[in-house]
Amino acid sequence: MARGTADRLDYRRAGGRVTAADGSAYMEPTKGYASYGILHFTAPAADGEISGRSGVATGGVQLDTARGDTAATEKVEYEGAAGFVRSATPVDASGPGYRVQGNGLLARADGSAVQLVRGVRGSLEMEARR
Amino acid sequence: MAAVLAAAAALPPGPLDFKALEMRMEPREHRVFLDGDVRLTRSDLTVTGQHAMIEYAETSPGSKHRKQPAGARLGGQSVRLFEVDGNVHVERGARTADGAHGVADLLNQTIVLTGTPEVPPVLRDKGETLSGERILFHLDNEDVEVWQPKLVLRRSVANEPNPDAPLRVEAARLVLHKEERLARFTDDVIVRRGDTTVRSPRMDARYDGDGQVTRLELRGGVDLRQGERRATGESADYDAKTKELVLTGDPKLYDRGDVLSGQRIDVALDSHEVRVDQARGKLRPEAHKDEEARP
Repeated sequence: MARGTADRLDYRRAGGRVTAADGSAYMEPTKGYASYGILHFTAPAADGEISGRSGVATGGVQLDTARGDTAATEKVEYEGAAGFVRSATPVDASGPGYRVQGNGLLARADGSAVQLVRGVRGSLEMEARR
Repeated sequence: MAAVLAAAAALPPGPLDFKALEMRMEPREHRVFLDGDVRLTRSDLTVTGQHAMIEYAETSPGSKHRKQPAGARLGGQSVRLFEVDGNVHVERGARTADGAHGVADLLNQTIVLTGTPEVPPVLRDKGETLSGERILFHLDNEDVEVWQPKLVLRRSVANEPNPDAPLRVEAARLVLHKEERLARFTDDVIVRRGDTTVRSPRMDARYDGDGQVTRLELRGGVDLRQGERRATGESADYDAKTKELVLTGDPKLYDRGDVLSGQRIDVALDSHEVRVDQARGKLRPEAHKDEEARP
């Protein structure tokens, strides 16, 4: 279940095509991503086909989680039929104790696996032994 | 061997930086995988390999403010360990090591490097090389532990006329204590140099500030073989400058039927000369008839 808002939303009934500007969506995952808590997506532009269960968000896509993670990338594609979320643009993510940068993203929509591809770097916070 | 004991300082707390071609997160399995040209760095420690797996403990949602156990954290979760495979290379200061598999236990602040049956892990420090079944690095100090170590002390004999005869040391276990400039070999210690073999349950090797071996201290019963000659004692001390081994503790010398005992027995490893203090025993001159007179 996702709930969202947008400054402007065009919905064409024929083909189930949706175009949104300055959109924002909230999701409360129950499985894979559940440990992140409520997910909040924002994007300046989004274009999707309801019937094809696919969509593209562009212009700088931002994800914030209730747990404190943030992720940003220029463009994200959603392929619902295949169950994947992809990005071919650089991805910056950070959260409690980590930060990571990748040159692309491939994730299962159910949250069972998230992959940063084409070069990744980052850091994990470490503490000395007590 | 020097820098094995005298290399970098203890790692300060700080982030573990990583690079790789790909990173795969599996939240359900509480694991992160890094693949392709993996590089993990922290302070002066660098670990490289082809694959890495980072494993962290499960915590419940909303627990980000809960006090975490020691170790690295990923997404607010405590990283327990990471494993690196495929041409694993470890660098820290002047010390480098290579192996097939490395496991970093972040709670205990250690890295264990292993190899294959054909290619054991190797620790290098300038001219010195040490291999073993398993090499354990402490991340919070500079101590190193080695199981089934095989060590060649080349630099200790660099100025000798016969540099091809280095000291070779084998044992069941080796612990390198940087602060004390001490290498402690235990269980079935075997020291070989040229035609000389010395066995003992325990040996301490002491180093100077440049990492040169200055002294070997063998304890718990020493058995020396040098050609047909055999010497035993409770303890032995080897001085790297004089290249003499001094046996004490009811020392005995056996040589072609000669049996000598005394307060101490000095054996020169190069010249094969033996000196026995307060000697007593029996000599059998007829056993030495075939020997040529030496000047």
